[in-house]
Amino acid sequence: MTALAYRLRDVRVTYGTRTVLGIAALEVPCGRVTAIVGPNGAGKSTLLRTLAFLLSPTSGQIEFLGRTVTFREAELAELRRQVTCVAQAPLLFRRSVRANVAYGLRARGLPADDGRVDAALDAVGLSGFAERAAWKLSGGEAQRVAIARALAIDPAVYLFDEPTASIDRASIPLIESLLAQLSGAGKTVVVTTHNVEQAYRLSENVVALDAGHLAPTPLVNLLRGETVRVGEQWYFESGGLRIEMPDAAPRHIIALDAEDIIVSRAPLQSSARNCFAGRISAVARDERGIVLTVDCGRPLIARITAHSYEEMALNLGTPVYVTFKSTAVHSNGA
Amino acid sequence: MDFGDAFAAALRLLIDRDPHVLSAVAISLQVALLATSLATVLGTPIGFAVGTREFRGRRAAELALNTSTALPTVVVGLLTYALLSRRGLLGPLGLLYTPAAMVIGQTILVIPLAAALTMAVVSGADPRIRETALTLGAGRFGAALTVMVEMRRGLLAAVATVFGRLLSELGIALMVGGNIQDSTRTMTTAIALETSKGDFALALALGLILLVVALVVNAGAAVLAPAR
Repeated sequence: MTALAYRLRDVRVTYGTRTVLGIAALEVPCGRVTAIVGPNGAGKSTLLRTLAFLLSPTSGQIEFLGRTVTFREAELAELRRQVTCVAQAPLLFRRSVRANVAYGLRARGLPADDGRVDAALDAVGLSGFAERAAWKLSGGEAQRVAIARALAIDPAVYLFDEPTASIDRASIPLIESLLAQLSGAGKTVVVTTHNVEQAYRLSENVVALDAGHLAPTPLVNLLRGETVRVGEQWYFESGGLRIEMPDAAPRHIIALDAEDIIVSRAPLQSSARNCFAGRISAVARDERGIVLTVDCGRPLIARITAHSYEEMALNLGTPVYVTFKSTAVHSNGA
Repeated sequence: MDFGDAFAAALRLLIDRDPHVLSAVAISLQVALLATSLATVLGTPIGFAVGTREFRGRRAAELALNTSTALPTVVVGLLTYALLSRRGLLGPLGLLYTPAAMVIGQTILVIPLAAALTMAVVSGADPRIRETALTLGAGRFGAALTVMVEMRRGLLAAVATVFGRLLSELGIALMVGGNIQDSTRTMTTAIALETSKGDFALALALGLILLVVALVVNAGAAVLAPAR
């Protein structure tokens, strides 16, 4: 069993009578990336601020690296030095970029002139920015400086709140590979995103948050492959599947929500452009229904209600058809 | 002497650098600067604490601070007089009718103002400043210092406002300073005295200087204050 960075039990954060976070149980493993996915307002930022010890929960228990946190100010100050949180809309101090990146080193009484600042800026693709005025940077540059500021202090635990939300698309792979490098170097990384595909790209450990509570993990089919053109129509080819696409953008990965896939006994006569034959290769049950894995050359996950499952008399090995519209294919951020 | 003559005489005094005019200006500036420094050192932490921390009675403290910015200077003068007069608590120090007495009285007068202005500045600070400092490893004191440094323009404007208030202060300077020439005679006390004596030239000369200094200080405060 891997060591745990955090173990949360019945952690609640309430403002007046409103509960903004209610986590029954959550474990965050050490040395890996954990992705927290959820819509805006789901409580992701509140959870990260709690994990960063910037916000003490109203009630509940948090263990950090095997130790129960007491939330006394002296202890919090010590714990905060092992964690750093990069906010979704990070604030840069009204100083030079170098002074911003060096801030954490200075706060720890460490020398800030041994190349760590420049190395951190290099890592986020901002070498040569050190002497710029921080308040003159673009939103994406500011976010990368904030990430460099975290890298410079090199804590055991990194918390990133929507790290690619305001970054230009071209820089997203840089940031994503940076997170992978951090966990490769044994760091614990927790990252929030509203983008389910990004969550799965970053981590095998995806936690879903909805309205402040842990939600069933979203079931998403992620398919890797290539975009190809046949006549006037664009397709995405992955394994044996050729999926009709709504537009011509080149892609290497697409996502299909398990809820968007229709399962039927016979081929459907419908406007949906994609229909594949397959066999049911796995059946599971979760809080919201039955999760079928249909092998159509590639396994596709579909969620149907328990009622449909009974009515259609489905079972392991049953031959079925899966159908979905080309507009059900997501590819944002890929 | 009519007003036109007085104005011409005033300009002559300024051009000739009259020693009494210069000494009143110097004393005014010295006393106001010292009292501003003391009030900043003593009032800023109070304002910072009330402006940033959650505690019971915070609203009452805010109200008390804001109300005490309107302390009447003669009341503070009276209290300082009672404190420094021979039978007062600090009577043995023999400070009454010295510049030190004026500094003490004026400091008491503007500590609430310095605190209230600091409170207004830091409570308007972006809460992310403190959180960012904390998550980068600063302690509570370091984070507070960072908030102050980030809000430096607003705080400097507050200091300039305090200084401006003290330059034009009359009641305390008169009551505990005693208006002694070349010792505790400031621009304001000199203007009051010369006007009552009917010597408008000296009063006008000092009035002009006071106006210019006050305008410069307030313009400085306005330039420093962040645009809203």
